[in-house]
Amino acid sequence: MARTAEISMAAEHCSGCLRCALACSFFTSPEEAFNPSQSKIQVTPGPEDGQFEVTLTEDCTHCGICVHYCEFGVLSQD
Amino acid sequence: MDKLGGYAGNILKVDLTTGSITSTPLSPELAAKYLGGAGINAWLAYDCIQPHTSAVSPGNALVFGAGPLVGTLAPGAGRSNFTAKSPIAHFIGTSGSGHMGALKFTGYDHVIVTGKANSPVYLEIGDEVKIREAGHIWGKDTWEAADTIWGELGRKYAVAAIGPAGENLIKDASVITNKYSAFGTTGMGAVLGSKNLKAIAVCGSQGISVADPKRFMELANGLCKEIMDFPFIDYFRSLGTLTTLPDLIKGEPYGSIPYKNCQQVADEEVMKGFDVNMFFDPKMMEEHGNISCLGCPVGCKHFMRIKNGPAMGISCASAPVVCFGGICGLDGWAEVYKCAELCNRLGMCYGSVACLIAMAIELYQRGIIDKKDTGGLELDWQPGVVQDLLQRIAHRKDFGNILADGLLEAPRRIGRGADYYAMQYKGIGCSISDARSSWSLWSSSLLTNVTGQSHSPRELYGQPREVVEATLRAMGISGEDMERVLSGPGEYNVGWLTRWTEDYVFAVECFGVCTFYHQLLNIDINTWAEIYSAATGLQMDGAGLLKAAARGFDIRKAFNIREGGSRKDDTMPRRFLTEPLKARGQMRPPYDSQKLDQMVTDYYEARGWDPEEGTVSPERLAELIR
Repeated sequence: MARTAEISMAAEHCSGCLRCALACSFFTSPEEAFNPSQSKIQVTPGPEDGQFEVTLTEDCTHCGICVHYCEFGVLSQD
Repeated sequence: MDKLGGYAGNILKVDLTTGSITSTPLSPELAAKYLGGAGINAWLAYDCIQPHTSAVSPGNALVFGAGPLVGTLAPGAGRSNFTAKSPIAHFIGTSGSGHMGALKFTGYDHVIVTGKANSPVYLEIGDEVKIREAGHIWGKDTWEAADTIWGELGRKYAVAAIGPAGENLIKDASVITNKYSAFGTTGMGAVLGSKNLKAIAVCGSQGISVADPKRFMELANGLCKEIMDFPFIDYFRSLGTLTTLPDLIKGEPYGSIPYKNCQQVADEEVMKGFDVNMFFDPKMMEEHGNISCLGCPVGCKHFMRIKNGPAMGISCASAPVVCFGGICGLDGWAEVYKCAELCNRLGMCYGSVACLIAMAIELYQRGIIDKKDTGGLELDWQPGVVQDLLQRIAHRKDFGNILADGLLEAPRRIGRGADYYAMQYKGIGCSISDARSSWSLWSSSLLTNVTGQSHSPRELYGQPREVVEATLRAMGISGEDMERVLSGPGEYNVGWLTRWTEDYVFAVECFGVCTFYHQLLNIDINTWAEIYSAATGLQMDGAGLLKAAARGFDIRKAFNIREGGSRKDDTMPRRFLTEPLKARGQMRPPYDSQKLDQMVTDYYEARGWDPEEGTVSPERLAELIR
């Protein structure tokens, strides 16, 4: 998908559901497989309990599919 | 048949005695027959565990499985199950959690762990499978164990660990996942402990494909929209299972919460300290955030930090209130959550352990036991007593060593008629509702359920007939079956209604989808069938799903019968049949034993079991194991 605006993040709202990573892997890979390890957005439990770290990989195109699947207001895109 | 979509396609077998690690393909025929998750687990347990094997011996098999929708974008499909012979009543045990569904990304749908390691180990299921030494973790609580394993493997791993309770083979030991969720009931923690297995950690890089991606995503997106458009979804997200607490305190819809070991109900007066609005009050709650299970857009679990209380993650926020506020009669949020924190760290099931402690306190109050029995402890409905007993049970210390043997065995060891005060169904604590306060499908399912627990049925009892009819139609019930449900003996036949609601719920459970989705939304069984078909490529309709779910009940019943189970196990605490109940200023009569008997017979008949004995016929068993 084409790159649009940069994705911004508010990781403090993340609940760790991985729907962003599931969607990214499914929609951006030719094999259409759900595979969070291959996603361009990575969600990892943080060092503090109840917190998650959310990062985009260098090859993320900011297509916005992860934004569409986030229901917790973590991801946004102008 | 080629490999199906949705499923990872493999079963992992680990023998801890020999260290053997092997894998076999999951046959599409087995997948279609038992669906997945708890269903296939049940078959594997029946197949792997020799009759009359001790639940805490190397011969017991721990089966861990996640269903065909787990790891996809089907909303709420994050659940997995542990199944084994339970150490409690020696029947089949099953418990579910929303945080170990990541198993699917390791390339396995199911894991069968047999044998016993020579010394403590934990199992790493990643892109490789390794049996790792765990001597340095043995003795640690579940939170310390998770932290240690994360330190060794990285935080991406989902970790299910036992605490001291599992190590000490406490009958009601649980397995805690990622510190805040649990395989809570039926003593799965003791099964891990008996194998010297401290924990299972999963993290994989395998993808899950579906057979018809376009159709699957249309259906998954539709279901997600439906749940997020649900009118009270924001309230549900904020409070999680506490949403239901005010109704539970009013006695709706499941019946009233028991109070002080079912001596009365936990009504508005005694539960006035548990105003759910306090959950949002910064004077009480310093921090409060959502945690989701895998793939769930709702996130009804919480991480919270209570002022003057614990900081903890919790999956079912109402359970500590019901168990420690209700059954154990404690007052105040901080006190009940402190008990929950202890239970989580020690690795014990809230419901059953609360019932054990409440039994002990009532026995003491009645003078049936005294300080000589309790090792000098004075027992009362006080937080210090409850928290002390939690520690003693988990460590099998003094009187705790007796209570550690659970709600069936501990009263036998105490003697003196103590079993009358054990509030249990098949040895599982009865903490959520008192059947005398209001009959409900929840109560009826507890009575006959193959595992003695139930989060199963959708609550229809007391609903207008047209609501019941519409719901049943959505569940795929029609024709003669519908007539039987609606034919009475009362307004409808509870035994038949229980069977059908259980089958609907179990089909969805086998997929790995959380129960709250169908409790909130009246999703048609054919919609589930469409999702399953689009995921797997196996064309199945709603009727096919219900048939597969029924196999899951029948094979579990056959397991129990093989272990010596009989009709006498399908009963309720004797107190419910003999004592009236004081509820909101009124005395409610004991439960009618003839009505109970009839309900059991109706249920057996609805399931096609022998109406007297509840046995599965040899012909049916031959079909199940073929």
